[in-house]
Amino acid sequence: MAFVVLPGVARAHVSVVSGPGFANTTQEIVFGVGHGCAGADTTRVRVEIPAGVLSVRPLRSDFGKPAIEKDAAGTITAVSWQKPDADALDADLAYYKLVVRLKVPDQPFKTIFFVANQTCRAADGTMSTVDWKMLPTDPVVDGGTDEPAPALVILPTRKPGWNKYVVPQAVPDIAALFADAQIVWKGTAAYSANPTTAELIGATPGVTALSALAANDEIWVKY
Amino acid sequence: MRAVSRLFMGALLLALGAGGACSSDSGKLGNAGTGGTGGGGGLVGCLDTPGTLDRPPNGRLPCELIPPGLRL
Repeated sequence: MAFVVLPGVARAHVSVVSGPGFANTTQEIVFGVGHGCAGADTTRVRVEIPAGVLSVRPLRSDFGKPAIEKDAAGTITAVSWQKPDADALDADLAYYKLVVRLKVPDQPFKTIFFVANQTCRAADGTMSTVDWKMLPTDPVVDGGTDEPAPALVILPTRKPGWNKYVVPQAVPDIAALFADAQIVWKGTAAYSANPTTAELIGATPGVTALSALAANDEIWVKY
Repeated sequence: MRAVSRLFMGALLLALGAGGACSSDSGKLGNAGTGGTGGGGGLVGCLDTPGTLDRPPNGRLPCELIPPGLRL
């Protein structure tokens, strides 16, 4: 049986599609498998569980029952789903969702990464894999063809209306954290992903545009 | 005689009530739509000016998007 490793194949995608995680909260995280590998159907996905993520409980999926890997302390370190070869489709035409219920670390304003491995089977039986392991801090090699690891943005818990937070560490890209907020304020600087509100921010005297946050900044966020 | 007196008192009360409501409403309308004026001419949050009426956008941020305590 042929087995090949395909770096950066067709920009396939395994990513978190369930939105942000909420600090210190148990919730379902959904990994979406948008494409197979170079025209081949996905038959197995393995997701590594980063340190600090606890109470991991994977759900059954289209691939069947999940398998788990543990460390010496009994902590779950990886989850995988694999379907029988006979269930592989003739081509890359399906979208898959893989769900894990877990407790999000109490680390608001941080992003954690789930390194994933995708295995595919072509109609002629050729197997291939794609590793989703690149972190934003990794150096770019091989022309930047490495695939990004699925990322989970962690936000503090929220209530509808005004929420006041102190940011524990710098946030260089405010848009990544507050895409679903009505507006974010730091002093007299404001940010909104909504283009109409952003226009009003620019037109209101005394208000400047907010694009990044520093550690210990106090902010108001309206949801 | 008693009926005329009652009519007069009723009319007087109506006039007083109408005048009070008009002055109160005009003050609120002056704050609405621009985030409220709070006396300083700037913008403040709705929580700082309870009772202001919602108004369509007028080119500036509405008071519901100004956080509590901020005065622009």
